Amino acid sequence: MSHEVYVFAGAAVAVIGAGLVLRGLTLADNESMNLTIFDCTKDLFLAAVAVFPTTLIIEPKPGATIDFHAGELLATFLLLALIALWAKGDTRYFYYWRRGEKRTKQNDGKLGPAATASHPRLRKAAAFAFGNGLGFSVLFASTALSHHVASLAK
Amino acid sequence: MTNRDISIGIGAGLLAIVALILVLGIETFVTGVVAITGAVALLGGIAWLASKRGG
Repeated sequence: MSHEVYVFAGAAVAVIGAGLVLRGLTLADNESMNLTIFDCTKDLFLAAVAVFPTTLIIEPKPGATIDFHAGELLATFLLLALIALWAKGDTRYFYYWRRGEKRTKQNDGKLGPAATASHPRLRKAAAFAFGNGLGFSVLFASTALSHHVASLAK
Repeated sequence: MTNRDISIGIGAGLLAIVALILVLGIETFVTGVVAITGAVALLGGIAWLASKRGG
């Protein structure tokens, strides 16, 4: 396995494990295990942001200078833009999907009020898969990108 | 979902994919796709099993 996969797996296991333990310990008395407890999207985004500077501090040889090139800078800002876009999408759609609801477009082009979706379980599963998939994607991209930048240091 | 939101999401996603392939190379990208798919499937499976047990 490559270096990126090890760091990705280590960071993912650590952040998901810590998140699950914390959410499990803080469950309400009458609350049972549900999909929301396993939704680690925000944890994964935080891990992606934390991995970047950590790798740049640890990996380069002592005294080496790190140079960001245009490509790496563009890719880094695109990752940050993806997180921002997800946050916007979460307030408009995914928050409701996680509750089995949906918002449909009205005649004036604006979104209407939340209503129960025809397949609520499917909506919940879609929000879970999309959120965590994007979280894992951003974490892996951040891991690989920071390793790439650190390996270029001279 | 509005068409504008879908277009922005797909556009930003494709742009990020192209940028990452150009910067990191296709081999790392494919490795990432496999790792991410496995991670989502594993987490989804655990969540599904726990939800079944938890009721």
